[in-house]
Parts: sequence; C-alpha cells; structure tokens
Amino acid sequence: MPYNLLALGSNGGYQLGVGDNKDRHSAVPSEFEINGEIQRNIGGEVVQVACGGEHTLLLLADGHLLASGSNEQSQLFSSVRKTSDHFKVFRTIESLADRKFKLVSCGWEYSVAITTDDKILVSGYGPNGELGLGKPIMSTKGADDGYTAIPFEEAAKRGGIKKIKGSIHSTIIQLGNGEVWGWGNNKKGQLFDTDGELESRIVWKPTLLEFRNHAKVLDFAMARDFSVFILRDQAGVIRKVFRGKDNYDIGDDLHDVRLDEDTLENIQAMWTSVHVITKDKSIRSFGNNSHSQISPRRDVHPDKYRMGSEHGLCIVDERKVFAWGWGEHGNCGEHSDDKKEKDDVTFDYCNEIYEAGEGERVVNVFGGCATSFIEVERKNS
Amino acid sequence: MSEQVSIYDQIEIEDFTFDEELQTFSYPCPCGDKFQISLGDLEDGENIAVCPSCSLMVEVIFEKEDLQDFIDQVS
Ligand SMILES: [Zn+2]
Repeated sequence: MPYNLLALGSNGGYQLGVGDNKDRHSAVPSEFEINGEIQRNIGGEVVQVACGGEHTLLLLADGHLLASGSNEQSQLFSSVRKTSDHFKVFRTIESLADRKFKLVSCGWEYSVAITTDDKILVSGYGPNGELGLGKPIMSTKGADDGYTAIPFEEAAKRGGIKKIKGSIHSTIIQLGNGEVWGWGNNKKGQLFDTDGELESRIVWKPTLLEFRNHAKVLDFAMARDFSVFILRDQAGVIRKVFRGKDNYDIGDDLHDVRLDEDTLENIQAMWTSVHVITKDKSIRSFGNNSHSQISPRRDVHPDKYRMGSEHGLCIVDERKVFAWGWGEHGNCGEHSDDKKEKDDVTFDYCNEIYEAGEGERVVNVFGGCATSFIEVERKNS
Repeated sequence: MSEQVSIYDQIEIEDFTFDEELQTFSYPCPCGDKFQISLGDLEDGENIAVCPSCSLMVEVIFEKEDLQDFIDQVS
C-alpha cells in the first residue's frame, strides 16, 4: 500500500520536508528523495515522527530513518561538513543506511535513535548533557558522520529499550525490566530531585531514575521542564509522580485524578501541559491554558490523540483530523469562517485540518514544534 | 508592560542561553525559533522576551544581582 505524509505548520528550517521553508496553513504533501528522484510516496509505513526545534525524523516500519530540516548542528545523524546544513525534503540518512532502528526521539537541536539491537545513537548539539555522552561533550559535529553512540551496555542485559520519550532538553527511556533511565537537563528536577546538589543539575550520562518502594512505571511523559510518571506500587495502587518545575499546579491536580491501570491508555505532554488518555478515548488535560491547550469540549470522538509543542491533534474514524491549541504557524489549519477572526492564533475548538478522500485512510498523526504531520494510506488503484 | 499583554509562560534567567557577542539571552519558543532579550533591556528593567517568528512572549524571572555575572563577562 502506498503511504503519503501531509504536513502543515512552522517551516523556517525546512522541517516539513516540502522543498521550501514557507509555513503551511493547510495540509500539503511532504516530499521524498529516493534514488535521486523526488516523489510523494514514502516508500513504506511511517511508525514514528520525531520533531526537534527545526528538524524532523521519520522512522519507517522496516527500521530505516528519513530526515528533513535543519542539520546545522549535525542533528540529522549527518556530518554538516560532508552533507548539507538543511535537508529540504525527506531523505535517507546515508551514514545510517546499514542500520535498523526501533525508536527515535528529537530534542531542541539533537536527536536520539535506538537500533534494533539496543544501541543508542545521538547527534547534534546539547549544552545540558542532552547527548548523554558524558561531561563535557556538547556536540557531535566533529564526529566523522556527525553522530556518536552512548556507551550503555546495561540496555541489552535488562530486556532492551522499550520506550523513549524526550523533551527539548532531556530524554527518558524505559527498559524491558521496567527500569527508567534519563539524561540531559535536570535544572528543574525533571529527572530526579537534585537535593540542592549543583552536580545533579546536568545529568551527563544515562542514570537510573528511582521511585519509592520500587513502584513499577506504567507510562510517563516529558514536557518542556517537567515529567509525569504513572506508577503502580506493590499494593497495586496507582500513583502519579510529578517532577520538575510546576508553574501550573499540575502535581496537585494530577494527585486528585482517579486512574485505573485497566483503563489507562497513555499519558502525553505538550511543552507546558499533560494529557491523560483512557481506553474509552476520553482525555483529561492539566497545565498551561494560555492558548487553549487544555483539550476543548468536543463533539467528535477520536480514535487517537497526539500532542505537539503547544497544540493537540486527533483522528476521528480514520478519516478526519482535528487540531486545537496554539496554531499561529498554520499547524491547526485555518479558522472556519464562522468561528473566529482569521488571525486569531488560538483554536479553542477542534478544527478540522484534513479529511481523507476516496480510497484513503488516515493511519497516524504526529505533532512537533508548531508542526502537524498526517499519514495517509492509499488503496492501490 | 501593559496589562493587556498575554504572557505564554515564565522562565528563570538560569534557563536562558547567553550569547556574549550579541549580549543577548535566548530560550526555545514552541514555534521552533527562540525568545530573545538583550542584557541591556534587562538592566533597564524590561522583563519580557519576545520571539522574532511569532507573537508569543515569556516573562523572564530574575533579580537585579543575577545580571552582574553577565555584565562582568561582556565588559
Ligand atoms: Zn516563536
């Protein structure tokens, strides 16, 4: 089945992969350079899209990575000296062509990709330990192919790496044995309490994150400078742990939420809010509501939600995609005539940004820094 | 600043990156660009960092004495 990726939103660094660096206010096809030809077919199913400040990585179902956007810091696993400072359309990362990946994550100007045999590869720039390579390594620009591997033998011994969630300056992974490890910026205690120790403000290498009574981490989410962990303790009680800077009383609000392991689907974050999604697809949002980031009342019933930096996306019936929150760069589409002034940057309702055509199915949706990506499968015709 | 200005978030000065050459503080904006404010503006009592690519603004949280290290760096 052919797959297409459609993109809209902020595009100053070519991160939409559409060939130029103009913002888009409606969904347009991303382009793919495959064997020297520009095409709209992805060449396989995309299972994950990871977005940095101005760069985008696509993980395909076959384990290959494609990249677009800024490579000024070698954040696309490609030496900026040997390749180019911007990838204007999505293309294969040549230095990684022989490797297969299972997970990917992007921070502000860096990227993290996990191979199928649990190697952690990092590329780009991070002055706060974002690269996890030990003090004082802040850049992979000097590396031959623009990337380096984090020495982390523990992963393979502990059941492999199962999950990765990053924010702009920190990354957390979960291993097969349930442990969670993190690295990067910890100035706000978003990984663990620094206890006032200056040394712990930057976590230069993957470090085990511990929880009281060895509670099991069911899911977690990383916002810009805080993290939320959903745990089950040994008595079977669900606990919510908030770590980091709490400008919006999220810790207290979450504490009062009743959650049940059987009904929890996942927890996701924008930069300054968190969103708890249950299996019945209801969503509860906590945090900054400066631009209606808190999920609005809906008359739609989504199959799936995804969060961008300060906007949310959802798919309904595999046919329609809606967006809410902060949409200044076109990432939430354009206001329908009757709703609001055209230049109002806030979408306090679910705005339809895409409807599948005949023979099409919306299979996935992904949000980045004021960017939205829609993956569509087309029936062969 | 007038009360009409809506602030997206508050950010401590320790989280900004200081560029000695430009004498400017910057911090990531959710649009992909960066909020900026000059050292001079902070010395003058301004506390709103703006993004050149969008309308979002953040309030910089700092004390006057926090600036001394940076003033020393550039002089
Ligand atoms: Zn901005």
